[in-house]
Amino acid sequence: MAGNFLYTAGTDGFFSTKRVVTWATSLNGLASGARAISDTTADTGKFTQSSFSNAPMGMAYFTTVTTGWTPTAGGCFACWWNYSYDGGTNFEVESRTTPSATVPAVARPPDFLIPVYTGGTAISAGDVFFASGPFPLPIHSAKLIVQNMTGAALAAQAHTITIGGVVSGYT
Amino acid sequence: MKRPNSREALAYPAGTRPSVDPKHIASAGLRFSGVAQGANFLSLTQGRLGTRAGSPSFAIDGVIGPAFNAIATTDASSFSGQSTANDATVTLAVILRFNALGATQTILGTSSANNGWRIYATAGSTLAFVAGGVAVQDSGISISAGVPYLFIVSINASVANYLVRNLHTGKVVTASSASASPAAPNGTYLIGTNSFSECANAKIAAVMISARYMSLWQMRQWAADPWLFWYPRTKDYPIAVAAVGGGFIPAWAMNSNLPVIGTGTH
Repeated sequence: MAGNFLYTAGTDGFFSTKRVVTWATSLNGLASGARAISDTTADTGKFTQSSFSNAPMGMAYFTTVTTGWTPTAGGCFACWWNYSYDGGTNFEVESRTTPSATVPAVARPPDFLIPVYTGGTAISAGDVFFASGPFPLPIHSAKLIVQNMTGAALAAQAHTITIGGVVSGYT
Repeated sequence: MKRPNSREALAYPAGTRPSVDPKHIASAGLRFSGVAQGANFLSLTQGRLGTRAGSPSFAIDGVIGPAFNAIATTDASSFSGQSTANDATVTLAVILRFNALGATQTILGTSSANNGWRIYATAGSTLAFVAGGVAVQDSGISISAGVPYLFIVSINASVANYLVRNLHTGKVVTASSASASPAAPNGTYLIGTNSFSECANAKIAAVMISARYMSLWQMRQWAADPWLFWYPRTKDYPIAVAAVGGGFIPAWAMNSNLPVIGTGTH
């Protein structure tokens, strides 16, 4: 094997098709501390290795199209892969107490974070926030759980989370 | 194949398991290492949760990740059965974000009584340590509420070193002061308050205590990757082990916490 060990270019760094998450419970208007969970749509709500072309790592970003909510310092979206042990029929248990700013949605530490803070000023239309670094994509079938730890309720409309695989290897 | 760099040095390394890395520069003489888990602390050195007092809460912060939020006077996580040795040299470190400042706010101590060592924020919003019941030393380093920090304080018989790294900006500030001789601790480590109920009023993500002194340059080396002490770069996901045929070098490199750099034929 010869060559440098480099990022795979993909499309703007994304190795495979980016997935815009679809939701069973929406991000829109999500209360502070509440959680949203993806639906069962293949590749956008219920993910498998092939959803990301078997990429081991991914990046995610949150996009808003509406103004009117203001995250607090340290605010973030805490994100977990909600794993299945049987190919996507049954899933890891969530908190049996309603998640809140002081009750985590899942017992494990988050699989990735999307910090959201604009210096105490309200979010503007079109603002985008990336995860704080590439993170492992799911090995098992999984849904996505997102807990709103921004310290504020989200505005009502059209927020999205987009996830894509990132890869490096020998060229 | 190796995964891309999955960490930003200043941010909580989500998706990485916490553990103790005996090769880390701060691991010598380690007494205690812990990370927040729920509204409590998990000891990585002993594999058990602390004893909660008061009503500390859970938080997830965009920079420091899962955190133990000690807000009220007695909010604490304590670990009994720890060393009662009167360590003349000590290093204490913490990753945290203060909710507010302006009072005496104790973060971490080697004793639940007024002895041993403690680090705290002064009423004047500076980082300081106290040898309980004996002496207080102030670093003179100003700190602010709402800012995520790494604090390292290391003390021997002649000097106390302080390092503060702002985990938003990366700025590093160091200082030194006179030392102190402590009184023997009582064997219970205390996170989030002290015996005077001087609460941290902070979200605390990770703490450590060792019985070794660290020089300022050693502290700077650690501060270059603040989280590495608690979240070592160990083996990647199975893809690392199942590296491509003939992939001995990348597999070796991952198990050695080393990057694969440059061009080569192997």
